[in-house]
Amino acid sequence: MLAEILSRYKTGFSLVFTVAFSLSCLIWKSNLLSRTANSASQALDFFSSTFSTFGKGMSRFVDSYGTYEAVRAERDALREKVKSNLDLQVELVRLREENSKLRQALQLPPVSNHPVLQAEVISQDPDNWFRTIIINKGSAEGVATYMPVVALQTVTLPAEAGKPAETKLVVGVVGKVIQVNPHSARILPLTDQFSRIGVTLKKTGHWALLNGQSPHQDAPLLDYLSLGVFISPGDEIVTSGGDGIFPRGLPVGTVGKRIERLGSFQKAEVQPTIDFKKLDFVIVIQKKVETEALNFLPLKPDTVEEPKLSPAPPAPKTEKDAADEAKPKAKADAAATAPKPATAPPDADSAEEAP
Amino acid sequence: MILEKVVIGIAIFVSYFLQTSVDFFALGSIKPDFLLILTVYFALYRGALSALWIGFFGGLLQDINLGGYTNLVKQEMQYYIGTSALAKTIVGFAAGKVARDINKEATSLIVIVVFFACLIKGIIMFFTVAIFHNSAHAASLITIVLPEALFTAILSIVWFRLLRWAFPTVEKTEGPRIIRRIG
Repeated sequence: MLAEILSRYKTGFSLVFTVAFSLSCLIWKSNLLSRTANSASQALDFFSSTFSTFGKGMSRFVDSYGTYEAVRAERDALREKVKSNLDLQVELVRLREENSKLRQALQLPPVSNHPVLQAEVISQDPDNWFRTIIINKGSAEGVATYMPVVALQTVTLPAEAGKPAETKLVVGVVGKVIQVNPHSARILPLTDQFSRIGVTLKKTGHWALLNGQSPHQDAPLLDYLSLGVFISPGDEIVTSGGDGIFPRGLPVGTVGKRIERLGSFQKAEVQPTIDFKKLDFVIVIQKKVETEALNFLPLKPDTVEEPKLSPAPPAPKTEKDAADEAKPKAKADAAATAPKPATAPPDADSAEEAP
Repeated sequence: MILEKVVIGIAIFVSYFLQTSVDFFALGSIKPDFLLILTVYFALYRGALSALWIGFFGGLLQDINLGGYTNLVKQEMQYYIGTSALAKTIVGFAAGKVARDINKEATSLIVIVVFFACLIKGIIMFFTVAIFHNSAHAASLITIVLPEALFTAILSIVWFRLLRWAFPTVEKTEGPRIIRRIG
């Protein structure tokens, strides 16, 4: 009977079931159905990785000449970089020693160098509404949530008057890790609308917030920058380190052409250092999140404790106060030694203390 | 029968991987919706039931790929499951009911059906994202939904030919169905 009804109205039942499933997952975003469905993501990431390799191979085959040119330009840029790095390395060692001595003298905490891990981008969001990136390294390789992610890319600067076109390597912030599987992790890029990064204007040192924008806009927005700060297109923006996630001084981008003044603050579009359309490899900085900074974030009502008022510290006593105090105490002692009336309950004091 | 379901499953996975792992088909920042083309194809040739299930599973795969985010207030992971699945299910069902009997040889009609299907899917997704994830901007209707619908509709001309080649049996069932209806 039931089978007959199901078979007769199978389209209707199918529609009701699928819509109910979708709506229940949307309303209760972390219910059992959502968690179960999401557990398949590890398997999907594995297949995505395989397919991505195949797809990239196809793209490389199609653009083989362009790739060859790009590789040659990258090799030349790297050679130049190695030459300049040799001098820089000597200078760096000297400066590091000097810095550590000065920090010791000023009693500042030592600067920590975090280990890094290279990972390959295996998948990007399937539709045009969200923008997370999936990489092929996960918790098994030491990736954890809130770890900062950067990338190294070659940028070709156009030829200017008297200067030939130049290729150079740049490092820029990609985003932060928001979800980790054993062998894959999800990155929230700085262009995503949910991304918030604490940044500094490099030339003045003023702090601001970098907000991702809606999915149709590629440029994030520099927000809460004080109105008194003069900014112009091309000004460099680096991480401030104030969010407890990103180390201080990582290049984020440059100020774009659109600068707006709103209320007491000004906003500006930011051109990210990294070209997200050419993102093949990323570097995960294995920096554990500073939990003290995040402790301010949870605003769950049941975790907020009522403030316990400590008693006010006693005022310094004068001789007169001490004499006044001594009188009632002596009276109380005398009352305590006197016999109790028969009507009084035997444990009246303890009864008062009970709630 | 079972073999056909396996082939449909493979087609869903291939469409999904084309959307997630290969940027070859992206036009700027807009990607075509291959899973929607597959859903509409089955809506036209097989009807609402097949299309709604294909749309549901395809959308579910997309939602799984979207993952989730940590809600710092509730201190728990929240997932996007259902966002695409709901939109594609409804579009698959509606396309199967409304456009089942159109002339499938007319390319222009197919393009129009895919365009409107993608447009409706975009509008449903816009409201889903706005209501359940508080993150939709009205401008997205012009900057995401419309270009995606146009791009997907144009690409469907080629993609329908590929699907006809991949699923010859689906087309063969169409003849007897029309004869039954006329009879």
